[in-house]
Amino acid sequence: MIVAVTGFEDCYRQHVARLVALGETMAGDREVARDLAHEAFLRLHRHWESVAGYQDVGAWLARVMANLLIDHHRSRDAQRRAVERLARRPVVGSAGIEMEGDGWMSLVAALPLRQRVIVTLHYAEDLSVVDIAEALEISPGTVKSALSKARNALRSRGDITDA
Amino acid sequence: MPDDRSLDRRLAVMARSSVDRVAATVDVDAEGAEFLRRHQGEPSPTLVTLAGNDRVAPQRRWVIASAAAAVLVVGLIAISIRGGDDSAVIAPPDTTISEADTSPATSSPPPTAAETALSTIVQPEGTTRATAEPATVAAGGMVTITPDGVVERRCLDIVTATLLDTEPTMVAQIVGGRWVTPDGGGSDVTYPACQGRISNEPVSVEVPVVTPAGTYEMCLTEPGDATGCARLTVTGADERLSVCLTRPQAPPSLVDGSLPGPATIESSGGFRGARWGDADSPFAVYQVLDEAGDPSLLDGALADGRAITIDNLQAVSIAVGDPPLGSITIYLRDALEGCLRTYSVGPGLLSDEAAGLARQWVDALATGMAVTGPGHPTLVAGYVARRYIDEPPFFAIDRFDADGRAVGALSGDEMERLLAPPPLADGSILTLAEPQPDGRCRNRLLFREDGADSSALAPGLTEVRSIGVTPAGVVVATRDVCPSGSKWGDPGTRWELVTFDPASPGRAPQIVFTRDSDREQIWFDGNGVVYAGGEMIVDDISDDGRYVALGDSYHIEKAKWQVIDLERPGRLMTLVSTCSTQGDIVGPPRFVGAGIVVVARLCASLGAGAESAAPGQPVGSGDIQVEAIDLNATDPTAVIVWHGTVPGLGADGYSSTAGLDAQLAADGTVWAILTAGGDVEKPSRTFVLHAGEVVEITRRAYSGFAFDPAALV
Repeated sequence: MIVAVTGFEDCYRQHVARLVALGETMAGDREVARDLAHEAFLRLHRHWESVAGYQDVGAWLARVMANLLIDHHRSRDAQRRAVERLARRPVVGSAGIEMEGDGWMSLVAALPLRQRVIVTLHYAEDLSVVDIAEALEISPGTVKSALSKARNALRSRGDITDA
Repeated sequence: MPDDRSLDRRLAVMARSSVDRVAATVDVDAEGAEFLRRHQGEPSPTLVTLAGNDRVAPQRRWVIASAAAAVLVVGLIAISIRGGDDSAVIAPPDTTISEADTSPATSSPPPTAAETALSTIVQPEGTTRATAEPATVAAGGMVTITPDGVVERRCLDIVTATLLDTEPTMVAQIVGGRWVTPDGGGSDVTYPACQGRISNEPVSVEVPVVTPAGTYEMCLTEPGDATGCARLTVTGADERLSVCLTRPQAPPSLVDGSLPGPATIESSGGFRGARWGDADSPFAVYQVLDEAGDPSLLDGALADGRAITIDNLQAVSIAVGDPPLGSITIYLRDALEGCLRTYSVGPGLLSDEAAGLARQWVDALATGMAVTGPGHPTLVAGYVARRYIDEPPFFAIDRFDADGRAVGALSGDEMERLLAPPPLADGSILTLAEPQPDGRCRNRLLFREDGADSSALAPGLTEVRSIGVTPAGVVVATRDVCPSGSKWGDPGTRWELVTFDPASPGRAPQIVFTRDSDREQIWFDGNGVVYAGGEMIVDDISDDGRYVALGDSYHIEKAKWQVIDLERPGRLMTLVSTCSTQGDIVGPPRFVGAGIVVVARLCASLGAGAESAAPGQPVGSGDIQVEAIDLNATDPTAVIVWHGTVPGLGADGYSSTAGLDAQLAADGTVWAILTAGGDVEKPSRTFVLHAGEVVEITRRAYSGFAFDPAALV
């Protein structure tokens, strides 16, 4: 699908809310989502001419957001592990975030970060297994495995409801 | 609990609703102001100055982009905005960027490597300064572009090609040898967002064979940066090469060996290709058109002996994803012709199967003989086969008639019924809570579901690890029993097989068999999780509800099977065999009716393997013998009603197991399907055994065969 983008401003206005929302859904944190959304738009601006004419800009931004989020958590986890080693405290994995809000965010909060990112891209952004694999630079098999594990984890939750 | 399809639908609705709801709370204007504040140094009322396309001159737009790049490359956050009309121009406050306007950096201290890179990136635009070698190239050929200094390249070394001979100029991108235009053809071409390399190294680029002739400006960098842009002339493609890459060349066969038939040309997302076979067939073959394959993959295979060669024909198969779920590419080249063609097969194929197909193709091309299609032995009845697909549930089941002709796949409803939990006599169903628990001493909650109602089945049977239901509705279940505070391996921890008849709810579950934990069988003990062997799970139950087949895992990847008579609790059955040295039962026993069970047993001299966990089941190696045993026979000579073997066929190497299904024909004879002899990346072979006959029905792209689809789930 070609997104009709007449300029960066239009594009920004068209996509920023959803990108922040997507980031918040995956990260569980509005401020982190805003930071990463700004970073994603900065990158879009830099690649504006090449991205805008050739790709679905929304999907491009979602992929950048997903990668930025994973990088962000890697960095955050590394810092946290270092601090906790010093403090001799048990490590809390990246899944141990606290998410408030609606059913979906509560539902995926317990998933490991990568699974959370993958299920959100798959279900919220309708990205295919291949698209997600390309975006995250992992194999389609890894995506399928993560989706399968996430489905199994979510299946038994009583709060999966028909909307 | 929802099934996969229903679960997918619900999750999609929840996810999209969630994102929509959160998006509605985002203040777009505030975000825009914040975006500018963060990246320009002070608030700006609108985003217009960043738009940089219609309202900012090209030179200025380029400077903006470069400045944005600078933020990413060297992490400069403090960016100043100059006043007046130049407010649109973003530039960091250091001299590295200020040279964008007029002069080279002269500040002190000396620039870092990154700054040096930047100072090169931020050159005034002008004519092309990179060089192209050769300066004139035929479409389909290679050209090497050498930048005039250090540049930051486009992600994935994407080259922007601007045809200068037309008005307006035509712009396209070369992405990995593919010609991508912005007018719809490339709309769904995607590539990861990534950082381009910063380097002064030359880049060799394949000019796609479909590139229109003319004079081009080709840029490794963003267009406008002369340092990374070279001018070159593209001439029409060499005719032979053009024919090679643009015209479909039918493969000698489809995946199953059948003739390819006419090609269908397809275009999608900037790709053009030819397809032979039905699009939804697992046997279809695709050829990539207009794009030269990477010859180094075939050349490398030739160098290390992996390639298949006969005379001037060369081929190699290379897995793209994770077979059998991913596709596999077969590169095929006639060295005399010099044309490398690229075909795609799968998913569903193992690497070995694809290599076998490539070999068949080369043989056929070298000899001029057609590929031999699959055999179609006539059987007493049709059968089914399982193949992998690349979406949930990641397998499909196809039906074949008795003559081996494909007659369609199981429908979604049929698959759903096949995967449904077992029903009880009153129509309610049993379900186990997900997820599967990690390790021993952890059971799953057992529910009885009747419509929207969910309840425990029985007070004494609330948690189990596997379940089955007899035709009469008796529940057969396995569970771990661990005293409070204990972990698997501690005294008192054990595995149990229990039965419970829901028709007699007042009666407690009956313990049929127990197996104490064995510390010698513990594979892993750490982080509060114990993985251990010696567990059996319910696999199959005879029609009369008397006999239960149990899968018995004695190794983390290996299993054997046991049979228990529920009327004789407390012991496993020792099934007789005509084999002088009985090995394990390595395939799931099949109860075919009339009190007969069919088993696949290793009939072997003992190997060097260790004794298995269960008495009387030595680990052996050798051929598999399929035996039909009459469990109700009183005459010892009539116990083994039939047996058959496939000479030389042993269990699958990695799991020491085999696939087995069987049925009793109307004439009372036993038919068996045995699948075995595979290993990692080596497909198993499948045989039908009946009376004294053995017929191979192995089919490429299928991984399991049975008479009853339930045997493949």
